Amino acid sequence: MKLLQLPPADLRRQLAGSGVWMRTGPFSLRVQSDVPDVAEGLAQLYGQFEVRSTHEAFADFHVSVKSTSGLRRWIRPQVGFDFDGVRPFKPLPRDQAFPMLEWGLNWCVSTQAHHYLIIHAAVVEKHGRAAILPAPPGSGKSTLTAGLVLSGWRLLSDELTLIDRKTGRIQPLPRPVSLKNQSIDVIRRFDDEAFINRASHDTVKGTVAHMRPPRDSVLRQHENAQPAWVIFPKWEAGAATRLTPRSQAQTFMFLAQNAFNYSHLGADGFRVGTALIDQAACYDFRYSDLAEAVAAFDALAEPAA
Amino acid sequence: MPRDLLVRTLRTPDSVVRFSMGEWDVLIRQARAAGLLARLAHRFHRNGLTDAIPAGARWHFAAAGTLAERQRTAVRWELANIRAALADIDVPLVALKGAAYVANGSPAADGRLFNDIDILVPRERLPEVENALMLAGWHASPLSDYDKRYYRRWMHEIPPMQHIQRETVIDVHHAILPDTARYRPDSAKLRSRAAPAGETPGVCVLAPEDRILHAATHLFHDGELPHGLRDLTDIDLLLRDAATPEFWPRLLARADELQLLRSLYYALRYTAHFLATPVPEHVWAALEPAAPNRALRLLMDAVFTRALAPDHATCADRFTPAARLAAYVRAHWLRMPMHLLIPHLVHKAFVSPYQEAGAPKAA
Amino acid sequence: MHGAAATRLLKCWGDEAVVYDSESGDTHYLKPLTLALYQTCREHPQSTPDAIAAAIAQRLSVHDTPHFRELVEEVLEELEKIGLLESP
Repeated sequence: MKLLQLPPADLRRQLAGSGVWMRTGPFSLRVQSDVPDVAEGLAQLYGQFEVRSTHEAFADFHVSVKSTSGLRRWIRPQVGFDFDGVRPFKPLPRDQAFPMLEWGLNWCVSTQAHHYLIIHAAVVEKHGRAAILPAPPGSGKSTLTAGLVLSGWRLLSDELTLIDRKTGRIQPLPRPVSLKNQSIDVIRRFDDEAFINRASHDTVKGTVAHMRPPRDSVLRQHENAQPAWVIFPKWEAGAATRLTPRSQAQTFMFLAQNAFNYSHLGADGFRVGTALIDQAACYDFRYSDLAEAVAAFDALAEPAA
Repeated sequence: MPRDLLVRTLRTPDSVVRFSMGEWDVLIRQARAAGLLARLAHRFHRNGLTDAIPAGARWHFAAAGTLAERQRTAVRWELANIRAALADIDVPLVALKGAAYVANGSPAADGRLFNDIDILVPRERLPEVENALMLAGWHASPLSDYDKRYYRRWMHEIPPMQHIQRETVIDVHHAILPDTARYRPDSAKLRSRAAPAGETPGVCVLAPEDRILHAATHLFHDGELPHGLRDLTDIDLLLRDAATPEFWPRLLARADELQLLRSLYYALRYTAHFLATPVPEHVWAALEPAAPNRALRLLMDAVFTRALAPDHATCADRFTPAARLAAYVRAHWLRMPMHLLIPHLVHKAFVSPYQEAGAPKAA
Repeated sequence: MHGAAATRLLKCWGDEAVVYDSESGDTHYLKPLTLALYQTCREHPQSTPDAIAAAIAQRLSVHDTPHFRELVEEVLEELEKIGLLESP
């Protein structure tokens, strides 16, 4: 059953009770929350994901976003994220409850799922080939990712690129795309049919909202993909759209330093990372116009005549 | 769902072949909370049970195994670096606890997760050792002045030292219990029986019986029990590895010599309770004079059967919070005279609060 | 100089390389000069630094100047520090 088939009142009730079981990519979750924004965010952004309304016995991650107790709840209410009794974050204002769930789920995957090499990058796919987009914050990676998946590219992941250690292929985890500050307006203008939820303000990352992942991307979430490119995007006002090759060795070093768990995997991290770079063409990508950027990617992905 | 699902599985790994998905779910979560996911994976592997793990659950064990293996390599490397840092001052270097198990290739190292590296050096050499480590890049961890004084004056170790690049932490001990403790085993006696570690040149480990006694003392005197069950599994593995007919009398004699019979009693009692460690009848008989009276025994059982269980919601009953507190207070009572204990606990509670954002508990 | 082999994994792309040290868990980047030096040392073990500098200069088609030798020595020290080479 899909989450959108669950009546909203039932969703809220289950979340506030023993929790909702759902599957996102390769991971099953049991989510609990007493915060209305969380129910709303799930209903709006996770509609195509599988849920089970009967009590499902096994879940990879048992998580909750709940109001914290104490005197604060009357003055400035706060919420906390819990992963099976562990609280990795300090409490946040209740307005940030839904982003907190997203950050919490990313935290669970990146600290536990060591059967993957987990790169801090977005990843999208077209014509059977995947482009990994690592980028430091502020480089416009999420705007570009959103633009691409609104233009026919498949969303594999917005934040965590999962490389299967055994096969070298990318495992999709097509959860909502996070957008910050100006990106929110840029994407609204780019495609007025894209669904973006209510923004949370004053987070550590500024104003944050999430875009619903394309239906097709979610339906195909169990279809893994072959990596073909590692492309470092950088948005620069007025810049001409340009793709320039970059050093494979230096790209590898960047990934090793920026992956969540490269150093946890020992020699196997080196093996998987170098095998990835062997298969992938590495580029720097500069752009200022989103539509032109998408066109450049489309041209790159075009199968050779 | 039984609160002791993890414990029963450790005792009888075969029982998993009949597990429901619900039981696998709770087992994995209890094991993760206890820091035993990798050890459990190892036990399954040794018993040919890896295929019995449902496909959807397998990655949890594999991921934990990856971490344990990586940490083992890191401990070996760290020991090599410590050895190199101390080479010029020619001080005997004894590895303790987890680091010792790795140095020696002991079964207790398999599937184990490590926090800090613990080493034992002679007390009179402490300043030189501290200096040599600082030269090699380890510096004192940021602690409040109060905590620093507490460490130096009362504890049996200097404050933890953290390496500036690798961020690994060493605990440098000069004894296995603080000066202020009620029972004070002589650390020179321990060091005199230390032997070269099986797999690591330049590093020594305590004699088998001393390693067990140290683990027992640490567990029942050190108070913080976040890894209680894991430490019990260490003792269980060490005992099973060492157990020969000649070993038990040696262990008892040594415990008597070092005045650690009570700790040994508790260690054996609770490894037998949780993990069914085989202990010969004559050992119980020999320990009887050192055992607590019946009333105290019942109280300790109530406390430790709860305080040593994994720190997970599915393992707790309504007495668990009180039991954990009791274990903590007891350990500190044993380590410090009463007039020092209350100021310390009060200080901890009211003057040094800290945020709950601890390190990720990965497997 | 001879290469300290088995615990180090080397991967080359063009004239650059990356190395993994399985003992320490460290990963290193070798820029072109460093890689060329490393490979030369492995091909000619037991050579002196001067001989190596000469061989490298020839390989890279550059002049074997005193400045170049200094550079070579620095890089050799670096390689030694990360454990890729050992002085006899």
